[in-house]
Amino acid sequence: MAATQSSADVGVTAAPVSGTPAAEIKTKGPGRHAWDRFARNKLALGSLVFCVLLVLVALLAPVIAPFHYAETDFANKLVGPGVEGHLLGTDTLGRDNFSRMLFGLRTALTVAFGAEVTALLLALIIGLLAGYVGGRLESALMAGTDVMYAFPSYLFAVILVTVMGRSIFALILAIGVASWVTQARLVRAQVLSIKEREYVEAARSMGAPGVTIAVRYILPNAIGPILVTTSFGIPAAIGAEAGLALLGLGVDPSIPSWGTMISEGTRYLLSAPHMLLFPATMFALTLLAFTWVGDGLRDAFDASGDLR
Amino acid sequence: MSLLEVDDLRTEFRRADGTRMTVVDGVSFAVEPGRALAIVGESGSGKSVTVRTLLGLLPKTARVAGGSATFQGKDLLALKQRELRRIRGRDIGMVFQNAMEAMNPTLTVERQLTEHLLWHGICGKAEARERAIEALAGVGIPEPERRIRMYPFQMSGGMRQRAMIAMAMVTKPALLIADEPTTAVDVTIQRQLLDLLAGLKEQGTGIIMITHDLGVARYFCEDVMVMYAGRVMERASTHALLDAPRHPYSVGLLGSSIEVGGRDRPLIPIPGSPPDLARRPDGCPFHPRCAQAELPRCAEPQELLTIEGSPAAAGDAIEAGRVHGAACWKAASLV
Amino acid sequence: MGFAVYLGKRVIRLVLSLIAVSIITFTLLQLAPGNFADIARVNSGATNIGSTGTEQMVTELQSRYGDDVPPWKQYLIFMKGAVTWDFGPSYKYAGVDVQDIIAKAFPVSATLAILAVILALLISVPIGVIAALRKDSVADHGTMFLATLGHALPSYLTAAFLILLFTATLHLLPSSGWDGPVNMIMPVLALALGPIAVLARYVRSSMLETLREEYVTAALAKGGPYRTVVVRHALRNSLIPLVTVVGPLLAGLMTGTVFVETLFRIPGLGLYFTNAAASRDMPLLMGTALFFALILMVMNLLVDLVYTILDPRIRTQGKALGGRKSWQQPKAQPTSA
Repeated sequence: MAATQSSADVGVTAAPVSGTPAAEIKTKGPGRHAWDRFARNKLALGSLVFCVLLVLVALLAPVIAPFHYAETDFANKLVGPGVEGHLLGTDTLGRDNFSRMLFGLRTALTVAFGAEVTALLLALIIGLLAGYVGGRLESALMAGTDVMYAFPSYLFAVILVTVMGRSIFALILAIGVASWVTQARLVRAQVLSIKEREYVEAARSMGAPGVTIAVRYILPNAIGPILVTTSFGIPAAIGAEAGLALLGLGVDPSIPSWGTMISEGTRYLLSAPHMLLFPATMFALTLLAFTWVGDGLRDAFDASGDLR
Repeated sequence: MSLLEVDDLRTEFRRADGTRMTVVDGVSFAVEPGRALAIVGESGSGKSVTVRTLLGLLPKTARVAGGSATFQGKDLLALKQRELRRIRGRDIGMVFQNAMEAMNPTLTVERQLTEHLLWHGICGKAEARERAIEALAGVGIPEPERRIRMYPFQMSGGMRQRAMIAMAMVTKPALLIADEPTTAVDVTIQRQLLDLLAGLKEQGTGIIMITHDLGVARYFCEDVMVMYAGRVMERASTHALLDAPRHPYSVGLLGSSIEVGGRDRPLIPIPGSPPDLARRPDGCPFHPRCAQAELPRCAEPQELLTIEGSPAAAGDAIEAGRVHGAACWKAASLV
Repeated sequence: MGFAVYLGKRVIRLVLSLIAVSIITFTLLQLAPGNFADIARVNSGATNIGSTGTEQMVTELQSRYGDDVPPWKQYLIFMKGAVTWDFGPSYKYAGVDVQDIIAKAFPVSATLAILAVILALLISVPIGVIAALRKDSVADHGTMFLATLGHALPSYLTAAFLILLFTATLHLLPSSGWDGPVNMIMPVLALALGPIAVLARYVRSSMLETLREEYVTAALAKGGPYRTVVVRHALRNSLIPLVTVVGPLLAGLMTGTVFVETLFRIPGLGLYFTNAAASRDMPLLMGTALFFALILMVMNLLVDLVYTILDPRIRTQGKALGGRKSWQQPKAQPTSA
């Protein structure tokens, strides 16, 4: 077993003891390996559980929520938590905050996952094409990404929403299109590096068609870093959706969004602080959970990560 | 009296998983003014760590586990950081392998040659500049007043190496430690640097030269010490050791290396590789790879023995040729 | 000589990118429903200019964006004006030219951004340095954990918590308005938290890398006091690459203050931009978009320039060491955080 450097200051290395029996080689696929590393990170694991819970809650929101999100109750405007069955109070129109928060979660996750999937697909297609086909197509595509890169991403999203109106679809597209660029570059870089490896050459020499090679060989090996960026993309997209809603450019105002809840909350801050507190906290926890999952994934796939 | 006398130095590192690794395991030697001692060994033999221990330049994960190092009457290992700092750079200078890396790329040569003069309060800024220019001239750099304003990357490799030597010598230290100063340069420059260092020897500076190049050792150093896995395997005057090595490891080392001006013969590498320092073999660290090894004797603690079979003390290394110590009980019988 | 060429090339790239951005933006906005007449009608309640003013304005808008003017011509008119700092009148703010709006509102956003960056630097550099010097200690893990928090939460969310604390609970600070320095405290804090996180991490890793360099050991071997060596050799050199991060960060902030402005009702350019989007004020949208893009690109350029000044290797040899490698350091993006 090779001893590793305990300090990089002094170049002390020790090589394996001669004559040690070869360590048992347990075959573990890279996926399994990464999962084990991930699982060791308690924070990431816990966050993953929390995220799964969030997804479940979002899916079941129509069933779980005690009230419909648009159901008004003018008799009970701006009441505090616990009053009249309203777990977290009501807003200016008497709508139940708790239900609105649940639906807000639903909105956030729908848009975020939708946007990320869009971005991922775009990035995969363009990245694979650029990396694998190369040549003029690659230069053209990369020049395109350069331009997109120079374009401020939220600017782009805002403009897109202006053009397409305030629908969930528009939002998904806007956020997705604004963020695919870095992913595409990453995909291309991965493709370029894997393309040169021997097993690809071997496959090619056996006559496998390009598409097969791309999908069956390159893709699975490139998946690691891509998975990481996608998982970081989700909190970013959640933030983007809420941000746009905050600006008044989010989904249709009748559909709850954490962004609108926050902007409303600041308006009634002094009389009903709970209107800001609960959505903000929920929002923060959601973001943190997804971010920690992303961190965990990144560390799990990063084989040499111990120099931090 | 010796310039530096190191006795049974022991340095340990604590690894990330908590285990302790003994990197220097009972090393003793002495350095005399005007003479150069070569410390020779493979990577990982502990040569660098030995000298860095003396200067207190170890990382936080390391600690001195024993021994003494007497320099100008004081035990370096017992000094507090503040006192040690006063000696570093002023009485003991150090030269590194790669001048490009050992010099700050964003500071001028002048700054780097004068800052320690100011730190140690040796002189004021103006005089420091004069001394720096003098030092550059002393190492053979033409137009030193112009060169001093340059950045390290603007100099050629050889010039940079010389500037680094000037940097160490500007405080006129009594002892100079050179950690592989010739490894990163080509042979012609190597020769020039060694001649330069020879001049320093003539002025009375004692030199420790760490190298894995036996040719350099032969050319430049009066005494040589062979290290392996943190221990001294053999210690003698250079020509004695290189002409008639007695420890099986030294024999193997010479058999597997190319010497400048050496004879034509096939290279015979030593089989196996150095041990994991966290799990040292008992006794002689080399015995697992040694063709001459005989258990159980080789697994018992070894001492440096002279040809007559008696232990060799650090100070005795001065008397060239008379004391040749090898840490192998079989050495005498192998001759 | 080599430097001038390098500069020239960068400027050309900048101009080309701007043109590309303008074309994309313009094309997209053409797809938006409604022309100036519709919008003016919708917004007519908000204006109260004398009839001559309105007459002039209508003619002006007609000549630029009227139905009889084909899109490519609209584009050219606009761009020609853009080059001379004349974006024409706004749809929504009757009688006001877009460039005046920008001139009035941008300094507000810029002030917020600059203050935020300064604050971020003041806090993150010491944190990063200490974390590096005490690597793996509680202080290190603790501060880096807090850094992840700051990084994960967007600026408006941090702002929300700040408001909850300082306005709702402590009643110390106002939650809206733009009357004086007291209005700047929370927005700047909210804007700074994200950059603090990013910068602290960056300083730490840069510092760790520099501390490993041989010249640091060499300086210590010369008898340098630890503190002096850390500051003069390690810190100095590890801060130089910081420039490449600060520049884009600043630019990103300048163009990304919109959320904070909306929340605190601060009249910055971001606010105007969003309102323009909501009311389909095309000229204002185009003008602001171009302006933002320009700022971002100029900042990127400035960063590279500053970097060359700081790193003597580039300064004397006149060629960029590849500058920023785009996959390593972030280019300027308006932060939604």
